[in-house]
Amino acid sequence: MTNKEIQNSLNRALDKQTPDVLHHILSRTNPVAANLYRLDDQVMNPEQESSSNLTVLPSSDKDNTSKSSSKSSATKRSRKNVFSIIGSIAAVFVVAFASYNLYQSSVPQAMIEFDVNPSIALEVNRAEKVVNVTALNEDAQSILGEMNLKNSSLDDAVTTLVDSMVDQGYITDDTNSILISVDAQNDAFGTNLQDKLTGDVETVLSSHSLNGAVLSQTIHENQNVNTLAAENNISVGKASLITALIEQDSTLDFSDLAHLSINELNILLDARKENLKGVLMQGTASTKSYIGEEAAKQAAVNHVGANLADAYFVDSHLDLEHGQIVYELEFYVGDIKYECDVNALDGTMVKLEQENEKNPFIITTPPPVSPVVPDTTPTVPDTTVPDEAIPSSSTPTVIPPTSSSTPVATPPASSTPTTPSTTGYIGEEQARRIAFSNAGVSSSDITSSSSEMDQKMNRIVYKLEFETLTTEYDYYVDALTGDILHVEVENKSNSQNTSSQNRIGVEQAKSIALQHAGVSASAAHDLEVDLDDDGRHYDVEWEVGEYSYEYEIDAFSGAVLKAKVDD
Amino acid sequence: MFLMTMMIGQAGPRKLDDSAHLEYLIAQMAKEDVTALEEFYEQTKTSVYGFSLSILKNSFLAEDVMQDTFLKVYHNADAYKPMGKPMAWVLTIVRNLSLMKIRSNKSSDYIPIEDISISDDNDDIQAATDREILYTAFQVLNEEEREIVVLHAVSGLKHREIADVMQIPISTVLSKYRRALTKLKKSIQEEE
Repeated sequence: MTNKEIQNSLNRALDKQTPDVLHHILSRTNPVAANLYRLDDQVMNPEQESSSNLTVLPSSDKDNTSKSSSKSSATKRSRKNVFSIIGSIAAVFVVAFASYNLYQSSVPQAMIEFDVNPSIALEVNRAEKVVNVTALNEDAQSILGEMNLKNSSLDDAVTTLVDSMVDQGYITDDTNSILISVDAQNDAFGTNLQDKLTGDVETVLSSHSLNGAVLSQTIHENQNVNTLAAENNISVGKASLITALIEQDSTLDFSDLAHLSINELNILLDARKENLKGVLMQGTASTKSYIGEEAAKQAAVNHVGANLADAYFVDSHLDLEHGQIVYELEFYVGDIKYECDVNALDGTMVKLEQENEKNPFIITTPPPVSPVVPDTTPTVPDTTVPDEAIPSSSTPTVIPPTSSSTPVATPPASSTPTTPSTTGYIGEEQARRIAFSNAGVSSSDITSSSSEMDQKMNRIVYKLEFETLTTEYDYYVDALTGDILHVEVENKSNSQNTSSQNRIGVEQAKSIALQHAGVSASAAHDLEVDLDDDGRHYDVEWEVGEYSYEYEIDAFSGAVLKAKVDD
Repeated sequence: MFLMTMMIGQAGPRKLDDSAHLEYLIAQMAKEDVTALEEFYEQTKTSVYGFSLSILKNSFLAEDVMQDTFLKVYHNADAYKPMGKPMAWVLTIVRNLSLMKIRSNKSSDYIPIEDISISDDNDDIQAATDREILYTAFQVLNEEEREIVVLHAVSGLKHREIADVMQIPISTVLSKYRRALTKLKKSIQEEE
């Protein structure tokens, strides 16, 4: 096949795939709808793209001027220059080249930051003698304590610091990652330092029988990174690393990553095979505190109510979801494909998605279909039919339940979980029942729900959205067959890891709001209580007669943050 | 123009080479001309959907993005500055919306087997073969290769324009495109 033929083929195939949504679009051309679609800088002006959090990526970084906008279509492509330096050095040695002059002995030539948990900055001169030491956070202060490192050689200083960190338990088998950031205007000097320090750190660690994971990078003075670091209360080195990660994958959120420890960041880098420019990784980040892939798989199949033996795993790896490190697992059980994220520390479910899809790992023949007319014709299934429809039977094809949505059941049909109705749609009530039952929730758990009929992929579907106090569900149910076509489940967890035990709870939030308003619970209609996405306050809303009330109650103190009454 | 659109049924989706006409339609949309939107939609829907699908690999989400894209185009047509590259503008919107979709859905892109709704009723031999090739493309190509190949096939963009939309160097586009087609051809041959 020529290139041209392939292209034309793809063109035709995609053309066939394209659904017809014109009517949907036309229904929203009115000026009122315009408000929803009006200029959104993020979408309309690619040159000003920023990841959808608050921060702006550094554009002055001289390494990445052309690459800083190459957000990468969320790809994690490996770059040619992969270096892994893993170090679990608690201290961050920031080496900054202040000037390049003759007063070498007192003028700092490089700044080195060490990050593990403690964050320490060292300034060294040309002769690699320590000129200044700064503790950047409390942990660092406890490390430095009474130490006087001035005038000692860099090697000695590093050894002492790392020793101290191991002794005080900041570097352990479980958390063995260290980030070394070197800021030196002379690149050669800086790279030299990087290598040397990595070696030093590893030597020290192995003397404690520890395997370290050392990450090292060169950084440059950068206003944006400094601001980000200050805003998020982290070191410049860490901010620099996170920035580099986000440049590779713009779907990541800065503050999510800022909350992670260096070890967790390292694990992420490892898991995604990220190759960040200028970052060297050596050694392997410890995942000992996690439950492990096998346990994660078991947890995932448990969550969907299946057996491990029935599951075909397609992929599994560590990643970040809702601010937590999770195992992302994809597997088939029968004809349903699941994507399940489980918390890496305890296996709790963080996210679940499922789709009805023909399992490519199993070649199924259609089940025997009893003939419509009970006569002497044998009921042997015609297994050759699927082959005719598909040119190459050896290739597993992905077949959604399209063919099962035809109202008239003509044998041999492909495997259908339910008999297609010949009388029409199943109705919203039934669709809701199907969805709730699949989700395992009872109607008393539901805090809000909506449903509508829609057309998706040229099929009529019910779109159901509902929430419990902890979870959001989106279901698409085929209107003719009741098949579940698409599911999204998300825990409504906040990304700030604040302990839920300290919150006052929905019941209390409700009574505080009602009391404040002077309304009794029995008088309130359509009452809704919701923990807001940021996890910091509850939204309480209700109606009394013609009046509608809206309250915001602080989730921890119970204080009334906002109160509003409308008629 | 009219004649060309009549040929769609027979010759398959038309290749988009009429930037001037598309820009005209955009200008009309800026005046809230809904028929212009309809025509624009018919001419570009496969490009929009195909590209989104190549990024998201999920037909439900791609359909959402498709709708949102046309609405964005329509409601912001007045902000478009005619520079002879209307498809680059539209497809950049597609890309950004798709990436935002990924972010809010956190759908991962390492899935080896993708969800491509393939309807097999009324397929003739050619359509079935085409579908096979599409499926193969989604299976064997990586993210960038897939996107580049799809853009080539359905959008009529040149390499340079593809590089702009995807924000990667043109040399990358060229080499990945070559590699992608080689991979594809190899896989197709193996199946025969």
